[in-house]
Amino acid sequence: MYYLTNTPMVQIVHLSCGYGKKQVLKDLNLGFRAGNIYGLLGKNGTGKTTLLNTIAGLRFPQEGSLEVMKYSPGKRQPSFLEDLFFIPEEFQLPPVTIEQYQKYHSVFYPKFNPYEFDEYLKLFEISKREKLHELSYGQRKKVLISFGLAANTSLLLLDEPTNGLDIVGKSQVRKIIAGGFTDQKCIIVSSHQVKDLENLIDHIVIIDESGVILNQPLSFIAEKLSFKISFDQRDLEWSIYHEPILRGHAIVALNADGMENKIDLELLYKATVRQPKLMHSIFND
Amino acid sequence: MIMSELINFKRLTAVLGKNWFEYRKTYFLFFLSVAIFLAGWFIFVLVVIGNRFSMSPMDQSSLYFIGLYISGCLSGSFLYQDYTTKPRTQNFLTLPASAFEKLSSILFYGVLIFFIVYNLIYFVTDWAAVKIAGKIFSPAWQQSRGIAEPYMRFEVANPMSLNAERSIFYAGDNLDLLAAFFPIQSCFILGALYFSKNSIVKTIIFVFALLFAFLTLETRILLPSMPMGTMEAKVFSAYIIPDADGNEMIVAHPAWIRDAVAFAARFLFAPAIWVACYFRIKEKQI
Repeated sequence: MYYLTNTPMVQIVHLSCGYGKKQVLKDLNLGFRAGNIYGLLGKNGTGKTTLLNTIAGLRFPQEGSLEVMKYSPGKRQPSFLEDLFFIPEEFQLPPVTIEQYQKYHSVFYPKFNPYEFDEYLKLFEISKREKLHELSYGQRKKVLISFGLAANTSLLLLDEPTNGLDIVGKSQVRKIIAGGFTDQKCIIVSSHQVKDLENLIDHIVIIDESGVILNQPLSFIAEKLSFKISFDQRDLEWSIYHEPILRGHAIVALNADGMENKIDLELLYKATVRQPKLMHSIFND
Repeated sequence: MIMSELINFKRLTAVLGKNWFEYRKTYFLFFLSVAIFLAGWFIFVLVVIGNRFSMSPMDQSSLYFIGLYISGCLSGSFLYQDYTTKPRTQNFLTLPASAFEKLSSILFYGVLIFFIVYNLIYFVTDWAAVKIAGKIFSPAWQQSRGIAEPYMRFEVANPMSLNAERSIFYAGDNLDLLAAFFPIQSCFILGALYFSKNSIVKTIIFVFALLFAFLTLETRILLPSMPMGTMEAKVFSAYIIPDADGNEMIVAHPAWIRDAVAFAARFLFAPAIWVACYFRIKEKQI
């Protein structure tokens, strides 16, 4: 019922987490709400996977608190786990056919919809009679994504879902994730390949070593910032971030006229990583 | 915690079904290798060592326990080594079932099914070996070799027999050997859950280190602090102190101490290690 209220499905307060003495996440404050597809971005080693692991209950917080659907993930209660599906970057599937995999795994997910699973596999052009261990890495990933979406869990976590997929595969994954999304669900997609998230996410979270440096809905970002290609040198002086392209410069600037424009995620990401304080002041002041 | 979060029969059967379905080939290959090991051993005994005592009760029970310990400890380590790789651990930990149900599945296949199937395999191979030995080393064979001693006919050492005379465990020490097996096998299961790499080697080192620590405690601390003497052969039963005249003073422990220790060794050590396994599953992180 999180989609009916404004309560975050995932509530992170002053969370610190790491491996032994090495803290990967420090004093993190975040909330993830139902009805959104979040893009979790950050450089390698900034803790994206650690954050997803912690939300899934695979790692325990060292400090702070974490509440996911009113559960403490570290307890790994069955009722919590059956409403969450995590697709990690590295995964292993048993040497069985897809049909058999469905038969023995779907029983654990009460909201699993076999028709949806068939539909997703059809879109990916994968037969259910195929043996999982005989499929390529990309195909196995597509099966797992199909299963995760068909499980209809309230929370779906995807860690680098487009890694290992070809161009067509990436596009299919985006379409299927967007197609399987409902207001009752919250999807968090972590990636360091920013372009892969375009036309999929509606909220962006960028983290770095210091914590969250951007956490905004794309609609709000589009109101505040403009992304354009400019040939005018004066535009560069007023830009938040710019980089040369084949002709002219790609720039991120303040959206002075308030007209919504298409967000270039890669530029947004670069601007945020280079100018974190400026971006913070734009969105929070 | 709500009871259904700890155990739910439907979920437990789903976990058992999933485990069987995914690992049935591994189980089959494992038990096949156990059968080959036992059959190979019997063939070796009959062909290479081959004499009229080849299938003595002692030989049969020795092989039973050697096979049980080796395959039991290997199964404890190898069959659950999967949980030491990161992707498999992720699957295992995020599977919507309680730690108790996951552990039950491990113990069901690793301890109960293993023990039943091992006994069946042993009985079949031992039965065949004893029958073959009976045919080869017959009275006629003895006569042809000029062996004058009376012919000794050996029975199949049936591990499932409740008849004390025919059961492999009828001798008291054998029963203790069987009782010791379950805690040791459980140590290997715990090792597979605890160590992320080379669990079998680390578990062997750990078990020997524990044994070494126990012996050091006994020989270096406990015995030097006691009057000169020796322990009774039966552990925890009595301590014998000889005096200058050659007489012996026996300090007997109350019988309940030995009974309690024997009871703990037979029935409590293994469950205690299973409890440790349960908490290990609960606290496991990747």
